[in-house]
Amino acid sequence: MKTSYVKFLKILIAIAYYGLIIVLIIVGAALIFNYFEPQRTIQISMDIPVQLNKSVSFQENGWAGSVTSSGYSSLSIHLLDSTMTQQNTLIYGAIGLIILLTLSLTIWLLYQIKQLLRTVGTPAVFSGENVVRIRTIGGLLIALELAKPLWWWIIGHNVLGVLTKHRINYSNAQISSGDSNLLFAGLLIIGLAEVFRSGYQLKQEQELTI
Amino acid sequence: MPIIVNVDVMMARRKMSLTELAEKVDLTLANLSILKTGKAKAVRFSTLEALCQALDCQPGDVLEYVPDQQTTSAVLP
Repeated sequence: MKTSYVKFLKILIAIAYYGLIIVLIIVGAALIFNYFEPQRTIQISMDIPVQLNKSVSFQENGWAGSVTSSGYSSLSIHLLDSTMTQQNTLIYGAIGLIILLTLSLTIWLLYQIKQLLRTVGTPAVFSGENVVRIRTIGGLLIALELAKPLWWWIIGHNVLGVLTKHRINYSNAQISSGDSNLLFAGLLIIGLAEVFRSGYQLKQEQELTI
Repeated sequence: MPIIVNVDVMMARRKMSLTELAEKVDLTLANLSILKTGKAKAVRFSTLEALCQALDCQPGDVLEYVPDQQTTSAVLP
C-alpha cells in the first residue's frame, strides 16, 4: 500500500538525489577551473568552529577574505590570483576534497534512502538488503559528523594563523561536544536497523509457518 | 531440527499423492513440500487438524521428536 505521502517523499528524495549529483559535478568543475583561473564570482565558504566578537574583512596578496561569527563563524574566500592557488595546492586540494567528499557522502545517503523507499508498500520492505541499507544510512550520518573534525584538523592551524596575522580576536577555536546531532541521529538509525532485522526474522518465520 | 514431520510416511500408508493431499488440506504444493522436507519453522493447529483428518491419523503419527544428538547420528553412516 503506497500512500500519497510516500509518493511525495519519493519524488522529494529523487529531486534531492539527482540535484545533488548535478551540484557535485558543477562544484568539482568549478574547483578545478578556479584553481587555474581564479574568479571573483567563485567563493569558497566554510563554517569554522571559531567564535568572534564582530565581522572582519581583510585582504592579502592574491586573495581577500571576510569572517562573520555566531557560535560558529563563516569564513568566505575569493581567490584573486592563480599563483595563490598554485602555491597552496595542498590546502586548496584538501578543502576541495573535503567539500567533494561531504557532497558524495550525502549523495550516497540519499541513494540508500531512495532504494529504501522503493520497497515501502511491498513485501520486500522487511528484507536483509534493507537492514544493510538502514545500517549504511546510520553509518553515513556518523561519517558526515566525523568529516567536520577531520576537515578542521587538516586546515585549522592555517585558518587560525590567518586570523592571528590580521589581529582578529577569537575566544573559542575547537569543535564542541554539543555539535553531535548527526552522531546521535546515526546511532538512532543504527538502532532502528536492529528493529528492521527483528521484523525480517519474524517475516521469515511467518513465511515458514504452514 | 528435532521435530520431524512424517507426512510422507502417512501418505505412503494411505496411498495418497502429494497433489491429492494438498487439495484435501487446502495447502499449496510448495507449502506442503516445505512441511515434508522439514524446512517449516512452525505448524498451525488448523493445518495439523486438516492433515490428521485427510490422513486419518493422530498428531503423533505425523510429528516425531528426535533430540539433536540422535538426529546427527541418524544422518551419519
